[in-house]
Amino acid sequence: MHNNRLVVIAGLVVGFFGAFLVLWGNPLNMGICVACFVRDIAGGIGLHRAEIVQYIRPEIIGFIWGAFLLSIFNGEFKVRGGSAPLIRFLLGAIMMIGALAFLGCPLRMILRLAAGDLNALVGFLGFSGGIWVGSQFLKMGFSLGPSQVLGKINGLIIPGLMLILFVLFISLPDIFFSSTEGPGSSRAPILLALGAGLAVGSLSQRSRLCTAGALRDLFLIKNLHLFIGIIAIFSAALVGNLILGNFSIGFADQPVSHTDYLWNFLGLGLVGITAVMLGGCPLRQLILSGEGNTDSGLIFFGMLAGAAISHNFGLAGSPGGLGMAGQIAVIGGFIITFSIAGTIIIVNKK
Amino acid sequence: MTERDFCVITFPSTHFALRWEKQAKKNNISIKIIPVPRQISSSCGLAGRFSCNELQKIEHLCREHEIPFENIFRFNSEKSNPQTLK
Repeated sequence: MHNNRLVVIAGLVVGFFGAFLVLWGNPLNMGICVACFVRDIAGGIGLHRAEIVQYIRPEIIGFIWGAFLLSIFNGEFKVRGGSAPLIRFLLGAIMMIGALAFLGCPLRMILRLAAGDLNALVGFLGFSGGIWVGSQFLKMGFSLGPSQVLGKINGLIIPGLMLILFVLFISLPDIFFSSTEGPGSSRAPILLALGAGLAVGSLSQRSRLCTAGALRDLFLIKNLHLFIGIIAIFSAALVGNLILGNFSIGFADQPVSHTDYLWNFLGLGLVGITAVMLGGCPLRQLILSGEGNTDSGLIFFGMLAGAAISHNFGLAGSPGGLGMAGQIAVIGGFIITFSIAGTIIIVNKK
Repeated sequence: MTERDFCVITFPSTHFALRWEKQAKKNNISIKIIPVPRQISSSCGLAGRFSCNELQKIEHLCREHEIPFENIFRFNSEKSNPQTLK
């Protein structure tokens, strides 16, 4: 029933672009990173002033438009929303704070691992632990409640805003903040980045590729379907990195990474828990935003806010590790997340 | 109905799918939790698979334990397009 071929193709394409967008200009081990690229966009529109991570990443626009166009074509553009909007916004921001403590979303975790960065293995253990905890929440009765069918116009907001952003970006690039050094200044050509985004977005919509769903299904129902997609991403990126000479195994001196084991573990642990509570990893939230899910659209805004908070208050990791403020933020994120989950579970049991 | 026929029930949230699984197993109804079939939806939630012979028992179970469901579908085979029953 489950078409593994599709999820394998999607995974291979994601892994291919993950490796080769680096050759074409994106930062090392960051061919694709949803958290980092959303963070760059937050910087590009001035929500934070970290000068080395500001750029309107066309890949993000491509992910959303790829999913939007294909879902319209397939008749799967279904506009829904209204399920616990503020909680979703907040958890989206917390998910981002966790990802930026690790320095990457789960997708970049796979790409980093495929480039030999063993800190990503620690992150993977944390992410898996987070997914396991989130899965226990689901078993105990956690639910953000059902969404409702909304008017079509609601689903057009996110794709519409992305179109406006892209048109402004190519016609008036100077109105945006733009890094001249650091990861934000490493960029693939605009049309190539957009094309890669469209390919990844449409294939992810079709295949339902999701890093969080992969582990959730493995833990909850012992189903490997989505996990096969993760293996495909890793395999294609590994081969690509070996071809490009971008493979170097070890913990130290890995690109855009730190060796703070505990905080790599906890940062992605927080992403894992919030992703299960929100029903998908950062990539999946963008894809759902494209196919009309306004709850995911709000999570995308939450991620933008989380990126701004992270960089305005020095909460993000850096090659030197995670500072005290970042450590407090991650712990605070866990406290808020557990409080929300606990309260909902107790209320649902009554 | 052939042996290859089966039914799939979808729920408003993952939690209800897991609650349904627990109750069905308690009542000795043979079921399996699966990812929502791609033919039904682009959502990545969980659904329940069961023999269509158990349809009445399944509906009764949902009513008795107040487990809301979205739809029940019948599949003729793994790759076929489903028929909406409820």
